[in-house]
Amino acid sequence: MTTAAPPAPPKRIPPPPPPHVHPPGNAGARTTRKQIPALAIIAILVVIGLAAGLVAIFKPGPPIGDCPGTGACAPPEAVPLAAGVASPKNDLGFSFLYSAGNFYAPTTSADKRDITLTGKNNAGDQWVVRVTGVPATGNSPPDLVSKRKSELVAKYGSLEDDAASETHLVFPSIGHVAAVGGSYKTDVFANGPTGDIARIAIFAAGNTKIDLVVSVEVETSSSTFNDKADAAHCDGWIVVRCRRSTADLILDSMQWP
Amino acid sequence: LLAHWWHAGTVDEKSSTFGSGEFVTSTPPVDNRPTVTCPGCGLETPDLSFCVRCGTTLGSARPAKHRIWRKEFAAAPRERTWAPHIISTLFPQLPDHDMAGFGIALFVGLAVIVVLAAARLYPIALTVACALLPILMVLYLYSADIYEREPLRVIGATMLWGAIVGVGLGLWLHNVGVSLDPKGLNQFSDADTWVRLVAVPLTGFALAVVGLIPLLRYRRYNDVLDGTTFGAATGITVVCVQTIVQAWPLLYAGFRPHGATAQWTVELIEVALLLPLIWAASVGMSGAALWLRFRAPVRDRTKLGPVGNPIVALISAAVILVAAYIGWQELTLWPGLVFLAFVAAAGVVALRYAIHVGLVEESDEIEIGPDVVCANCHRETPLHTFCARCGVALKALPKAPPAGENQ
Repeated sequence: MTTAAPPAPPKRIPPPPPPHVHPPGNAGARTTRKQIPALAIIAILVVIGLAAGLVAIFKPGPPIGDCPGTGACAPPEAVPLAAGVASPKNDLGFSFLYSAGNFYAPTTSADKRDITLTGKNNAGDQWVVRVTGVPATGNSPPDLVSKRKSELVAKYGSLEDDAASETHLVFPSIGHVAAVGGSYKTDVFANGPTGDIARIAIFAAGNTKIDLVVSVEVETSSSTFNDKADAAHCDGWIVVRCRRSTADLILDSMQWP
Repeated sequence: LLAHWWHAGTVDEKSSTFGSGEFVTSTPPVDNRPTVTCPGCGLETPDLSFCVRCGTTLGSARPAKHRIWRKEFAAAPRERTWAPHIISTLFPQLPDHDMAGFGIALFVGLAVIVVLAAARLYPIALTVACALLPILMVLYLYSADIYEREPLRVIGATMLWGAIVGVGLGLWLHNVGVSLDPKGLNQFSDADTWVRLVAVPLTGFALAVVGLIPLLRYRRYNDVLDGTTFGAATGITVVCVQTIVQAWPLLYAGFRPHGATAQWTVELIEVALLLPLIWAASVGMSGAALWLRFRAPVRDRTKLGPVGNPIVALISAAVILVAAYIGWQELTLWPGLVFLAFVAAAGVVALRYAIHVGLVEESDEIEIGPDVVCANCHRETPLHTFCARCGVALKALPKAPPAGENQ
């Protein structure tokens, strides 16, 4: 005797799964959680490569052409470096050329790391360019600038920021190495006649071996100094980028160790 | 962070720090779901962990007096609203696990910058510092589909416009002179001080905000979250591009220009992270105010308080921006870093508050819909404004993918 098998229950159709508001675990179906840092790292590597390429391209090389107005300036072709006189040798290994027509014989410290050049013209204007080298293990370029500024404040009494003048430093450089620095003036010229002013530029740079600080002081009569006129004629006193200024040859011909 | 990243999406609600409701494994029909009265908004909501209307934690001992005072950040309920988390503030429209991915990317980027600085490769480190946050922002816009299939319009009005403004500002700064020392107002003349610390930031800020205005026209970008994101993206791009253009002459100095490693490292971190955060907060807050004023329903336009007034927001943001630059310039290295970090943290919190209020107050006054799967916690939740399981604002998740890309 057999009994009839009970009828199979009707197949239940499972309800459809709830819809996703957004794809689960996959933001916008665009990136996965592992792709985000991977993509970021790839992008960073690309940026590093581009930056390295640009630095290699713009790395200071043999100076050619005129100053582009941005970055370190190359020396002018019109001023052959051979026209300069070489500075005294020193143990740090830096040297530069200067125009013998603009300066008296240099005075140096005993170790020849500190070189001072002075000059004077028929109008009574005087200028002093002082170049000092120190090992790179010493102070940083900003420290050297501050130190030199303090020395000059002691000499002149006070220094007023001259960054707004026509002759302010835009891209100071020493031997085609970017420098830090600033320009100053003072009308408290303790050792000169009333009304005389001093225009001063201080800048410093360094490589892995040495740091250099250069100060340029120009003492002149305020009545004969005109920012715009001097800048226009490119014979201003502390316009570092000015071709015929007294310091240009020194700055452009600087040889780093 | 790594553990959270790898295990994201498998979080058990019982172990969750913010879930307090019963774990529901099967979802009854909507009509039969037991409901409770939300202590935050006073409306009926399914009896789960969070109110689907205002995101208030259900069953908490001391419910907030107002829904905007809920502790959990609406875009990332794992975090507190008033905590200055960077990732969930800059990239709010992401699920938790993708936020972790962005956090790792940011950490790796900062580590690369520090390593490059330690190797004294300053020009390369600076380039990476200026590119890091813009890269992450582009990834975010793409990943979360913020631009809703119109990348040219959104990226053009935000990041490309920001880049153009940044180039202009950087070139302008090329003619403002060189500071003797990185710090100290007395290093500049009055004119240079005015230009560097006031004119340039305010000009950049104004132009960045102007770039947002065309996007106000489009109804598809109608959330306060859109305004904050567009503003943050623009602000970050402006300051990063300005910095790299301003520092362009550094490339002439070779791979290893001179400089103290500690000073460079500090300033690189400021450039890579703190200044962009301050700009993102300033422009992002302004974007939030503009969107709240011109895109939100009339009833919501006062929700941000006085800061929601575009005029007040713009003036406040501009003051914060200028104050940040003045403090940064006036203080020496480490105090300057601390000051910038403080301003950046305050800015992040302010931007976070704008995002939070925007998400909470834009809760739709609609009926509770059918169950859906939350993209943040991957569990079923009734379709409304907040996920009833994890508390995330559903608007703070990636937009719907383009047709054909779903799954």
